[in-house]
Amino acid sequence: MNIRKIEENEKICVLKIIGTNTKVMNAIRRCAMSDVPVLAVENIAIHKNSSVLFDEYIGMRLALLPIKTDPKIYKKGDKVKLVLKERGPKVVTSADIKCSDPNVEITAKDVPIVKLKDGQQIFFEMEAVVDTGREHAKWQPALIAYYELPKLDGEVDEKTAKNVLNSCPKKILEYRAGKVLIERPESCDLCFCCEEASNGKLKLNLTNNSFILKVETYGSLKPALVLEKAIEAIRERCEKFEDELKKLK
Amino acid sequence: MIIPVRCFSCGSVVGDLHKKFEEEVRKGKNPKEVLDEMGVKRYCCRRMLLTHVEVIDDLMKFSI
Repeated sequence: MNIRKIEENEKICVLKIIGTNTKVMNAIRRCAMSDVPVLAVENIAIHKNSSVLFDEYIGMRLALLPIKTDPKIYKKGDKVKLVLKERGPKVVTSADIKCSDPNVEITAKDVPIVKLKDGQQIFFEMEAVVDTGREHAKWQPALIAYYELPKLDGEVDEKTAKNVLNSCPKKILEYRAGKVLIERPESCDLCFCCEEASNGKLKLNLTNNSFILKVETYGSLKPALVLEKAIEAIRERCEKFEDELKKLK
Repeated sequence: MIIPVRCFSCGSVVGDLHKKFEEEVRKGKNPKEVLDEMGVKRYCCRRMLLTHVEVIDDLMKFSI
């Protein structure tokens, strides 16, 4: 397996993976979605709410806020207390939420929770719990997707190749020794313009063994860490399976 | 009512973008350009901001 990093920043990590199959990629994707524990607001005590929004409406909004989680400190089942106490006139945002632990913060700062008119008050005590996406989507750490990379099969002469190269709206094709190569397959939109321009000589196929993996975090964990934790989850499960197998002997 | 915290389809946070989006659009800027500048790529997230109507301000007038 050959892995190359295409892009990485605080929010997104894009990897090109060559020499694997869809089963492996899908295992990583599903584990990243449902087996990586992060913090999210679970229990709320509403002491006061005279705003125009209902208690449960605000509760839902609070639960969806992504909370920065340090996996070294917070294991599955751990809890942390948060408080939101405001008085109008004010637009209450996620930045107004105070936490007992300075390591824990809400990553999306300017999300409006509720708008308060003069004299309206809210007072919420919240409990954020570490759990996984299997339980509820609010604990899902990242948006993760993989695509099979395309390739062009078949041979063409130089004249047709020129047409093919021009037909590509993304201009990512290159002609080399009778073959048209996709120079940056990760940018391909699968528009099939190259196939049409080649008069049936070229065929756009999927490679089946090379993939592009995109991890876009919601803010609770770094994208690379999401992958790391997902793989850890797969390993844990395989070990459990192995232990059970040993018992059979 | 009030801008949703997350995109309905993909789940990425869009609530924090609404204030800037509305300010820029009210200034007369093309919504497409504003969304591109803010890095909202997918059309699911773009429709969240484009089609949102902030009703809460009107509703607040009728609260006690």
